[in-house]
Order: sequence, then structure tokens, then C-alpha cells
Amino acid sequence: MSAFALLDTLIPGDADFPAGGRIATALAAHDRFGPQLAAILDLLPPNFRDADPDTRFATLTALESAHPEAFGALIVAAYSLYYTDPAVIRVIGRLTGHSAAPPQPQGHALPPFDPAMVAIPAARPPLYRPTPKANP
Amino acid sequence: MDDVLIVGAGASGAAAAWKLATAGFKVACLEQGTWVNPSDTPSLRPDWEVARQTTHHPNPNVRHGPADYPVDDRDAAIKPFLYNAVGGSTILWGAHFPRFRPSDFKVKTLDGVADDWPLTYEDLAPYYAENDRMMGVSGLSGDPGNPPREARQMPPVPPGRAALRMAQAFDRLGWHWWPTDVAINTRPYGANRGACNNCGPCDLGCPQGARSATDVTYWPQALKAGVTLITNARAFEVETDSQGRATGVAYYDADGVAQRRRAHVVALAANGLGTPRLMLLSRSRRFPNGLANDTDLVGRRLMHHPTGMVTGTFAEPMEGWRGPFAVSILSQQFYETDPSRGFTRGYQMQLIRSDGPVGTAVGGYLPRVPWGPGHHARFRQVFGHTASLTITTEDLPRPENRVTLSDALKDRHGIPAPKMTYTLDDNTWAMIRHGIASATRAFTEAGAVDITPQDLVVNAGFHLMGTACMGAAPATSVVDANSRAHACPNLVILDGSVFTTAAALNPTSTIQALALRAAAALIRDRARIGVAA
Ligand SMILES: Cc1cc2nc3c(=O)[nH]c(=O)nc-3n(C[C@H](O)[C@H](O)[C@H](O)COP(=O)(O)OP(=O)(O)OC[C@H]3O[C@@H](n4cnc5c(N)ncnc54)[C@H](O)[C@@H]3O)c2cc1C
Repeated sequence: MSAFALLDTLIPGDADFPAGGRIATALAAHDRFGPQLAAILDLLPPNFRDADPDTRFATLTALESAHPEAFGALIVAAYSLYYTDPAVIRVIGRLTGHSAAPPQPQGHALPPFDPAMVAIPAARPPLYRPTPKANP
Repeated sequence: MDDVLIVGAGASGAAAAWKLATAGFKVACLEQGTWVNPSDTPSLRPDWEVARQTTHHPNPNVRHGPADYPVDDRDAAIKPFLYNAVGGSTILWGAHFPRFRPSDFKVKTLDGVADDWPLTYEDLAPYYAENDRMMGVSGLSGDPGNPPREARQMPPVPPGRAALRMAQAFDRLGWHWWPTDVAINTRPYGANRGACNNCGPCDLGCPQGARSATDVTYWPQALKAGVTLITNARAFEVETDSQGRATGVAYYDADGVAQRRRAHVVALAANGLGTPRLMLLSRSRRFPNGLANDTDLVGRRLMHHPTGMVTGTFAEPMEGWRGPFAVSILSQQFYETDPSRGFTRGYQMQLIRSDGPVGTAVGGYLPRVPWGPGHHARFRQVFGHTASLTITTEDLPRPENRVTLSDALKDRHGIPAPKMTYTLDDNTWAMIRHGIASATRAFTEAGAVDITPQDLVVNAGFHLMGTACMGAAPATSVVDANSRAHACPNLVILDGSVFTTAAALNPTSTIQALALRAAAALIRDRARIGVAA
């Protein structure tokens, strides 16, 4: 299926991250994003899937400049599903400490505010302009 | 018959509804959207960031929600951001809660530009304070950038790693900075509202009830005080009598059936876009150009806060995905006019934390992470390593920047959509350029390894102001200092449409203070308002 080749070209895998093809099925079935994928698949040449990586990259570069809006919409769609894919989120967590869980309900600790931080600006004279207090 | 019928249940409509009902008025409110359950927030789901690109996108033209109306923005340099529901745009907002400075009300006197407001900071101060108590504000007294005032209800939100770096940089540069005032609970405050748990995406809603929004602050109390809130009700005309006094509002109900509701006073709180739309739709023999539009000012003087942005990338992780995304510290070093800078008025810089994985990849603070070879290398470099300074400029009102009725787009009821026509002037561009240079200097001082400026953030039309402006003279303004239309004394405008000028900071605490003041004036003048027979 060309969708795998398309997504693998957009988001190639590396030693840590899986390639983008893993979201192909979910993207095709997505109610909002599916049409964005279909629009670009319709524009691909028939031999895209079997082409070598350089040719695929060149094909997509040309497509992006010919159809910037449709291509941009596909990128948003692909990145949105790829970067919410549990396997990808786990990699990010391992590399950065970013939580693999959704933001709620755990959140993060709320450290207390340290007022010592404002010692310098608090010592400044007023910065706002004197202004007449009443209308004439 | 209602004493007051309000259109719009957002930031301003909620505040006025509560105040009027508490004073014994019979109040009803028509809202085209419905309730949003904070416990249904996408923040609880693994695909939470997808919601930001779809169902919770701030641009109604992208979101296409059932309560949304389209906005014709073909000729608008800045795209509209808003939300239609009980709570209005506060459902999505970042909850920055600064007050205008005294000088913001006097730009003509001080700087010879635009117009003075017909009221002063001191006139508004008691209503700012009342609104702070209702919304709940976290912040710190002692800011040299603003006049002294009563203590905030709660201590500031923790600023985060990047803010500590930037604060030290501002200190070395000798520039003003201060923790931002925010309508976010750092401790439990208000009925059924808990403390912030530093999760990040406030814009997706807050199941803790910590991020203030009027559906959890004003509305529960307004309903207790007896307000009738009618949801799924889209107003399409303010009706008037032969003398031009408001008699009520026509609207489509949840079943799409046209209804009419009568009132002594009609109050519009549909925001800086929805209110002029409704006024322009409300044509009559007395008002052939739209309600209270004898001066042709309705819809004109549209102001945003044109925003530039500079993003610094640091070698060390900043963990900017921790903490309320929009708020930490700000600098008002370049806020007041200084003629040597080559522009009039000024700007504020706000430090923004960074995004989650999807937000980082699709871009916003930085350009999109490029697709193809090198994609992940770039992602690793920037994810969690950035912070951004927005340059929030003061937009001066110009008649050609305006809201009209679209001849191309209609909502699902067949009502013409609003059309925004908007460009930036040279003064604003000069401010943005200066701001970018200042923010670049601050990031350099803070040791950022890469600094990326963005001239104009196109997707930043969240502050909609000026389209039914306030002034003392009926010939040059739409409403008076009590927010009542000069040409229609029982029509009150509660939202940001009334702004005479925009200042250079987030408007909602001022919008709500003005709404409370307008309500207080109605309470005071109850017997004297010229209602329809
Ligand atoms: C993403 C985002 C972030 C923001 N961040 C901040 C911030 O940090 N600080 C800040 O000060 N401001 C912020 N804002 C702006 C803030 O939300 C608005 O200034 C504020 O909500 C405006 O209040 P309002 O009452 O004028 O309008 P709104 O709150 O927008 O409410 C208007 C209501 O009127 C209803 N309505 C409109 N037309 C009709 C009609 N014809 N019939 C029936 N109902 C109608 C709408 O459905 C809506 O609910 C942000 C906005 C967005 C979108």
C-alpha cells in the first residue's frame, strides 16, 4: 500500500523511533484526517511504493511545492497521529522524561513560588506613567 | 418579559448576568453553544494533542463545531480564535489576567493618538477587584510596572525552568519583569474548584476546575441567583420599536425554530466579532445600516493584539511541557511610549512555555519540524528545549479594519457570517521589529543556542476589540461610558467591542470589569432607563 511508503518517507525511523508507516491504517480510517491522506495518495505516481528512497523524497518534494495546502494538511494529520501513537510516546518518555501518560489526571508537581526570585525587579522605581486620575 | 436579556454566555455575559440577578433583576441569557463538561477534557486521553488540531482548535473555521459559525477571513491578516459555549472563549483561554495601566485609558492626552476612553483606571478599579474575587487570581503584589492594588487571592504559578533563566537575563539587562497575574488557582479557591496540577494544556479544559472559566466561576452563582440560561439559542436580530428602542431578541432554538424573547433591556456579549455581526444584521426603518449604527462605526476600528514571537532553543532541557502553557513571567520594559524608539505606544513580552510532541512537530512557536531525513534529529533538538517570548503590541484603531457581513459565507441557519478585513499599520510593524530585537537580545543574554524570530503570528486573533467603541461623543462612538448605545439607550454592549483602544495586553479582565461596571450602572439607573413602551 502506498500509504506505508508515503508515511515512511515523511517520517523515517531511526535507532530510537519507529517509521511513520505504523500509523497508516489509523490515518486512513480517521474521520478528520483520512481525507487528507487520500488526497495526497491520489496524486502519487503508480510506481511510488516501489521507488527507491531518494526518488520518493524527490517525488514528495515536488508534490509539496505543487500542492502546498493539501500537503501541509497531510503533514499536520500524520504528525498528529504519529506523535500520539503509544509506541512513539514511550520513546519520547525514555529519551526526555516526558510522561507517556496523558496530562490529566496526574499532571506534574506544583512547586511553591519562591518570592526571592523577584528581589531585583521589586526594588525598581515605578515604571508606569503618571496619568490624570479623572476626566476633565 | 425579562428585565435584561443578554446574548452570549462567555466572559462578559456571565459576569453581567450574575451581577444583575444578584441585584434582583430578572435576567435571561441566549447562548448559541452549550455546556462543556470539564471532566470530558481531551487532556485525560492519550490523543489529547489531536484535539488541539481538530475538535478543540481555536479557529472556528478549522474546528467546525456544531455551535460554531464560520468567519470570512479571506481579507484578514490575523485569523479569528474564539469558542462558542457556556463560558465562551474562556473555555479555551490561557487565563493571563493583567489589568490595563492608567495610561492605557488616556492615549490621546498622553501620546496624541487615537482617543481617550471616557473613563479612567480609577473608575474601573473597584470592578477589576470584584472580578478578581469571582474569577480567582494568582499573582504577586509589588510590580513596579503597575499601580499598587489589593493582594491577589493566591500566590503566583511556579514559573518553570526557562522563566528562571529569562528572569536572570532580564535582571542583567536591567529590564522590567514580573510573574504574570493569572486566573488559575494555585490553591483551592471558589466553589468546587481545586488547585492547578501543573499539567500544561489549559486550553483543553481543566478537570481540576483550577483554570478559571466562566462556566465554573460566574455561571453556577448566576444560575443560583435566578438567571434563565437558554443554550443552543442563536440570536439573529435585536428587535426595536419605531423609536429605535430595543424590544427583545429573535433567535433560532435548538430545533432550528425561530423564537422571540422580549426584554426591557438587551445586552450584547457575543464578543468583538459576534456583537457587530448581530448589530449589522439588525436592520430596521430607524436603523437602516444596522442597530445603533447612525455613525457607521459599528464593526469598524477592529483591533487585535498583533503578535510577533521569538523562540529560543537551549542546549539544556527546559521541560516546558510542564506548567500552564501560556503563563509564567512577562516584561513591560517597552510598554509606555518612548519617541526615541520610532513608534507610538508599546508592547509587552510574555514568556510562553513549550509544546507537547505533536505541537512541537507541527510547529507554531518554531517552524514545523521538516519531514524526511533529519526529522527526528530536529525533533530531539527542540522538543522540551525551547521557550518563546511573544511581542504583544498595541494596535491603534483604524476605520478600515472592520467587521462586515460576508456575502460569501453563511452559518447553518443561513445567517450571513461575519467578515473580517484587517491589515497592520506601519506603527505596529515598527513595534514588532523592535520587540523582536528586544526578545532576541534577552534570549542571547539567557544563553539560548538558537534564536528564531517570527514576524507576525497569523493564528493569534484571540483578542477581538473595538467594533462598537466607547466614547463620550455620540458622533464619534457607539456606546457611552456606561456601555449603553448612544442611539439606543436600552441597548448595552458588554464585550470587547466597546474598547476605545486596545492597550498591549490580554483584555479579558478589562472586558469583565467593564461588564460589571455596565451592570452596576443599570442597577443604579433602573428607574430611569428609557425602555420601549
Ligand atoms: C485560545 C485562546 C486563548 C486566550 N487566552 C487569553 C488569555 O490568556 N487572557 C485573556 O485575557 N484573554 C484570552 N483570550 C481571549 C478571551 O477568551 C476573550 O477575550 C474573552 O472570552 C471575551 O469575552 P466575551 O464575553 O467578549 O466573548 P466570549 O467569551 O467569546 O463569549 C461570547 C459568547 O457569545 C456567544 N454568541 C456569539 N454570537 C451569538 C449569537 N448570535 N447568539 C447566541 N450566542 C452568541 C458565543 O457562542 C460565545 O459563547 C483567549 C482566547 C482564546 C480563543
